[in-house]
Amino acid sequence: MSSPELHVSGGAGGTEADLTDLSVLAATSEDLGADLLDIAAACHSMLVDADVLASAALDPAGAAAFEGALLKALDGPHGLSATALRIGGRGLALRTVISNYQVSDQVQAELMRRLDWWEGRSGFFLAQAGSAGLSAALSGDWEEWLTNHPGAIDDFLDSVPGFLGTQDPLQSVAASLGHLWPDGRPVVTAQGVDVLDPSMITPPTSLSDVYAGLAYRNQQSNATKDQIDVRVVTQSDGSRSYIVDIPGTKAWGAPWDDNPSPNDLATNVRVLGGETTTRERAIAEALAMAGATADDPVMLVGHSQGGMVAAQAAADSANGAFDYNVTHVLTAGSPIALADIPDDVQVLALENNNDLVPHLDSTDNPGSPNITTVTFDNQEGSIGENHAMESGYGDAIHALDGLDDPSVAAYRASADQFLSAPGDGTAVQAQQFELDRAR
Amino acid sequence: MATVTVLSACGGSDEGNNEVPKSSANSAAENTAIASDLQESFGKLPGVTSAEVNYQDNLTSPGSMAVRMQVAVGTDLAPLFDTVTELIWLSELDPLNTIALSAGDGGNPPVADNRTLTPSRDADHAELEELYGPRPG
Repeated sequence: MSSPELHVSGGAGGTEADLTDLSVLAATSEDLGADLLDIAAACHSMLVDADVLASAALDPAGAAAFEGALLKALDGPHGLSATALRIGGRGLALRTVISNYQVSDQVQAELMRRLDWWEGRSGFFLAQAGSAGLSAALSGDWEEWLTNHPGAIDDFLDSVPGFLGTQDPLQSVAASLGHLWPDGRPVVTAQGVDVLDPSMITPPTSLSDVYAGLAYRNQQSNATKDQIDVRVVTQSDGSRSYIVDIPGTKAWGAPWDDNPSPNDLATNVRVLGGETTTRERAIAEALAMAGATADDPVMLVGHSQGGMVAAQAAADSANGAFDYNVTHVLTAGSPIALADIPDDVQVLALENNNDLVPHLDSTDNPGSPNITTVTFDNQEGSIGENHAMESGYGDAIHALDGLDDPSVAAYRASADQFLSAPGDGTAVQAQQFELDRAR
Repeated sequence: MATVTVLSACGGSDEGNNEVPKSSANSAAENTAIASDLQESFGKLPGVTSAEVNYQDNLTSPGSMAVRMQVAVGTDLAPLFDTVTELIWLSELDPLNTIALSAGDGGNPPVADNRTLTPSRDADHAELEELYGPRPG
């Protein structure tokens, strides 16, 4: 086992968090400047105070000295008024810098999207990609070429709306496509308590322990059995939290096929479009069957499509469509950038740079203080192996536990209610469920 | 007598299963049949009370052979995993990128263990070859 080099962006230690801190500093500076100006104004009124002026008749020299000293303290080069203006001005300057950073990032991202749109409209991208793909295909290494250039997927998907002649962004196109076929209704079957793997009977002590449950569940699920589990973590004080393990896509038939398992391509398209899917509703039912209340903390853990559904469920937890207290999302190989994740949900996304699947949203994850993205390079030689939990992500998951990074550390600390420490009396019980789609 | 339930997911459309086979040297049906035979063998191993096999070959689990076993309390899992690994390694399953074994006794408290190998990687492949010889075919 080799440890890949992990790169962290976003999260509590990320640039946007720094910008957030700067915003607070800017606001505080402006407030302080305003307060000092108020004090200075109040002090100026003392210069013409009736009692002070009256005292001048008794002690002209003393009054003049007092007025001179107060004027210097208020309006001198280092006086209160000048200091107030400097502090307020610094706040304003900070705010300008923050805005410039944010606008610059937004403009750059929008420019790239526009460029890709026009490439799609003109067919330039398809010709370019076709040429590169043909060349790679002729040399027999198209898969290696693609996994070494996963950004081509982003460019291609950004060009799709242009190719289709619509100004709508990719998410809207996916949403429109998703409505072309019915999603059915969820059917959830409880399959009892699972005690056949250490990850199901041992309280997790680390993020890799949490991921281990997902890897195990991913191995048990398939195209005809969409299997998930809910790990009920009970702390020694009796409080409960819930970890849901959600595997990825297993049914690869066409979206319009009558797939009884909701872990299919139709769910991929729908969730990419920001839809509340039947699979998400089934997970909500499973949580209810496992005993979760609307207040209990919930961590959603997903690989591939499982992570997409997890992120969408987190988004829906803010609007009541997923009526649970989703506090954490943990993903591996999932395109989650388009999900509108609330600020109070902590997300950690693991992405192999050579895995094509995280690129299916055609954009980078936001660098928000609550969204930490950990990337690494792992070229296993094929699309599937780069995406698989074991070969594509296994080493990085183990390396994550030893990573000394402020964003990852903050995520880990915030997930305390889902983890245990040796001898702390935490218990876990894993309940297994099968999800189906009824028409 | 072991309870044997085939959960193999490698079947193609001829199996009524819409999973897309991925660059498999065998057909999906061939891998399903091999996995089914293996499951029956695992169910007969000493200490095993039930065995489930899940062979998948798709984008999220390429060439993945997962075995889940319920065992009698007190069963020594390490030699059981050795035997199961050898049977899988020497089977005709192809592709075989991952071997994931889990077993538990369902006791009170429950005891469980697992083992994951990735023969698609050189190190694990070499180790398995040294232990059990070359793969057939």
